[in-house]
Amino acid sequence: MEVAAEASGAAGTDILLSLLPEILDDILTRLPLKEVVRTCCLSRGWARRWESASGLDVRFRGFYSAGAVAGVLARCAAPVASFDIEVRPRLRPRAAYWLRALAEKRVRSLQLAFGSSRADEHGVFPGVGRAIYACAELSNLYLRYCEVPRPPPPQPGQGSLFAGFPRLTRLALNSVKLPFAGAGALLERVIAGAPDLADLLLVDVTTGVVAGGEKKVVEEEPEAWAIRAPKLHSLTLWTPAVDNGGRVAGELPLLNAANMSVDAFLGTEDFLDTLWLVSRVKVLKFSVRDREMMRRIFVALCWKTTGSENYKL
Amino acid sequence: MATGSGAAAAAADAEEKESGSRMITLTSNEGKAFVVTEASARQSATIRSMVDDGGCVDKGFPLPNVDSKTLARVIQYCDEHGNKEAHTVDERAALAKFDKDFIAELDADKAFLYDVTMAANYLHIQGLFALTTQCIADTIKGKTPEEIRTAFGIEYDLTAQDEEEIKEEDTHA
Repeated sequence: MEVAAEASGAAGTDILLSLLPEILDDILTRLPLKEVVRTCCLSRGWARRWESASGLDVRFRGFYSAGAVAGVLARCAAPVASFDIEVRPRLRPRAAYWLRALAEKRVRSLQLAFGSSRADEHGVFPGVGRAIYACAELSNLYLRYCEVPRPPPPQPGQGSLFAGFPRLTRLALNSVKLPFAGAGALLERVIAGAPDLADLLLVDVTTGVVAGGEKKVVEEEPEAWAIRAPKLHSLTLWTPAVDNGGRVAGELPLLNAANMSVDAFLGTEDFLDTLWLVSRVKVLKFSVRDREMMRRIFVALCWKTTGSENYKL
Repeated sequence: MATGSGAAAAAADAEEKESGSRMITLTSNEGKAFVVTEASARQSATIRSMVDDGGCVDKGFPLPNVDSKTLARVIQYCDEHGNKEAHTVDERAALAKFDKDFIAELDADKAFLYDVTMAANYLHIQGLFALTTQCIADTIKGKTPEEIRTAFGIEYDLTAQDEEEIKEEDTHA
């Protein structure tokens, strides 16, 4: 009996398995990850079928086990379309392993949101692995609440500095530290090295070495670096209280929406230059912590920017 | 000079018009011929590249993998998307409504839905392919394994040992 059933083959009646592999792959990538993995218990023919579906969206929220993430990353096919995860404090040390696996699987979209913990020492952020620099296919990168390490030293005979992610269209860094010399230059290269970058969000991004530990910030000029992204549609720029040295440079002819808070260099020449460069946008949202300053900026805006349609201060 | 360039422009215009109104013949595997506008046929990346590569438009294109019933339905989709504009909000809404009704009708006849999906894949009609595979995915979504087996004729052939192994892997994945 059993032999006969096997000989006739499940694929004969199984409509999905009798479709071309590329069609079934496309169907599977349209399902939530949990349901994709669960197809393994449909029948013998399905036990390992999902593992060969490339382009999966891998997403973990709420309570998931570290084993579940590792299992999926070990078994799923390359390329992985997206990896989107909320990293619970306990699982922080795993992030480096995930990134290594994801770099190998040519991940295209990466969203790592680290959760904070009460036990966190003030100003000490969870680290993200160096393998992030190996994710060369990234078109979307979102990082929240973490510290990005120095890029790996250049391999002998292989160019010089890390040149960025050429396919990047969206870069979003929220509460991210790059605590090493040359961090500003690195950000500049990453932004300029992505010719199709359309969406840029930099909120509380700190760069460079903080000498003498937490309290003793050496009063130094921050290392200057430039945001050059001619195809930008949307810009969110909230500089931290201590100036990180980043400035908008060059025209942003396609900019639609800008959301700025740049208290760190308010009232300086740089501020006026920034205002000038973003002044043609349709929707401009400007937040300033100082009320009196805000009123003066508003007057300046009304005078300078007749083309814009909408201001929010 | 002025008249010369004017005449050239007119000639180019006429040619443009002609290519725009050019008709293309698609033949099903049963030998039935369907005459469609070039704009409609260009919805298929497969046919588009054959036309652009200077394929014999006059002789038409035989489609040995597609039967008449399926081809007629595929052409219905291509006509709507190829011959109509989708610039304004209203036009796009009309097209979205067409897609919704189109797929709802296919969904009621599953065997036909799979035929159209395979034809869309073969002819590389991206919009239609996405529409049909999404519809099949929606059928799987939210169902228990038993319901999925019933919906797609999947035979349950797992032994107790297989199940044990899968459970084992499941706790890891």
